Amino acid sequence: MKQEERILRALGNVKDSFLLEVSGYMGDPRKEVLIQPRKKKWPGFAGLAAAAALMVTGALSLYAATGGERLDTPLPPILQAVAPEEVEQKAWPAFHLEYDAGELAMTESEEGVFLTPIDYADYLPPSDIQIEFLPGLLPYAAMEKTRAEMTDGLLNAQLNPQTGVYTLHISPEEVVWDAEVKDVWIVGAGSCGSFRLTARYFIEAVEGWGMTFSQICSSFTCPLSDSPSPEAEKAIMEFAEGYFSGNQLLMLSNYYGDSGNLKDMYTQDASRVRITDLRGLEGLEEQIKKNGSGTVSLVFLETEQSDSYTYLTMEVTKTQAGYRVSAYGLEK
Amino acid sequence: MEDEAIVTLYWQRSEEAIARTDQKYGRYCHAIAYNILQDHLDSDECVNDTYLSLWQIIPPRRPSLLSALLAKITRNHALDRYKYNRAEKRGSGQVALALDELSECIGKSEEEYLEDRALTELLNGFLTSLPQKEKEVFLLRYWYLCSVRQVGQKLGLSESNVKMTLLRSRRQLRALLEKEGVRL
Repeated sequence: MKQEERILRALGNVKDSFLLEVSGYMGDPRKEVLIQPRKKKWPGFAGLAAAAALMVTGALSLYAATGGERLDTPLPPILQAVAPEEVEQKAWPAFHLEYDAGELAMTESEEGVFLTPIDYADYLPPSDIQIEFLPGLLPYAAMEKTRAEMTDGLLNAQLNPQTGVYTLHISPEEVVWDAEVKDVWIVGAGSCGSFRLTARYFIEAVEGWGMTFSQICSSFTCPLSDSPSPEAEKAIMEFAEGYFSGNQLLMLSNYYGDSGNLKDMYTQDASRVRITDLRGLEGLEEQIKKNGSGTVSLVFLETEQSDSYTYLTMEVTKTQAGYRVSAYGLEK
Repeated sequence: MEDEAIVTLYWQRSEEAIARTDQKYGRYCHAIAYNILQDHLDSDECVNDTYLSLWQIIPPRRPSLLSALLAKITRNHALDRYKYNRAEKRGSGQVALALDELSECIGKSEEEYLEDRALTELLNGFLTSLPQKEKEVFLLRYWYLCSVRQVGQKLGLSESNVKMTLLRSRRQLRALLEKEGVRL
């Protein structure tokens, strides 16, 4: 066996835990085949609209900071900063996603914000993306809620440890062309709650709308633009998510200190936890400058029926890699 | 369906086990094979071989992480097929193929087995020592055999950043192997 092959084979036998850490990044590489006929080129008007959309995006520095990446697909999404007025009235946190405004329309209803294909044949089963905001729910709790709601079909849930985003794939029991498939993304919105994106399509559209929706949903981010310290809030909430869901890896990536001290996890049912506040974030930067670290408290109810608050208190410090939790404890 | 339930189906020798495995992990296995073979038909065959291997090894095995076991088997099958395809092209057929086929009969010596195990242990230690991001870059490139561009897209890094990270990691690995006196 050649030397390079030996090392390649030996690498194939490394610990399973390493594979788990990156398996979330692996998808299906099959090329996208659109069921609907594609437009050959943008007509002039749509081109102008696209340029205008990009200019608007450039003007909104709030969203530009999130830096959405253009994807190389047959349906290149236009960079769009999205925070419809209707959504703001509902006090949703601002979010950002990329979609092709020439192909999909954004509408709003009682059930959330929807992205639906503009030219869509009536005889086909529905395909769309539904965006919902779940206030007070950590991503783990939102994932469990989704799992409980999806009673039909085969469900597979995965966590991307790098981004803290859960993805759930719900495939039908019976494989027929028009059977409904759902892909769900759960993205944390800091201490406010979580967003849930549900892409709905059918089996024959897996490689068409399924892939397109997947790219759109993957571009979804919540920049925490209302937070006094978005970076700190992101790290704190990811650490808390790890603490509640029992994911040591997520805790470790937002922790500064001896990893042996990370044994203490939340022992109750984390799917019932409702976050109500994150205290201490406003003066955190000042505390860190003055004392080297600051204290924040995540206030939550252990269940919706609880009559008293519980606090996850965290000592936060700032390292070269960013904000990190250095100590934590639960207080009633 | 949970992995444990799928494994139980294998233990019950129910053919539904393969259908469930395919529903849950088919795309994942295909992606692993495709990165190596760059051919959908070959990749599909490779995934089928993986299911067959799984059928043969469960029972007696009861894997704690089904996804990792599937990934490893798929990767090995894909590398074998890649080698086979290459041999076929190299000798316009038969000499290289025959040599490859015969090499299976020779097998490994005990010394080689021990050396390979030691090498895997060293790689485990090496990966543990890498920072999270560098570890992910290394595994996506050399375990999952993604292209540099794909690694960049998956992790939100530029291609040059990925290349630099890989260069640094390879240098570290080389230094470690030299220090430990691993004979390659």
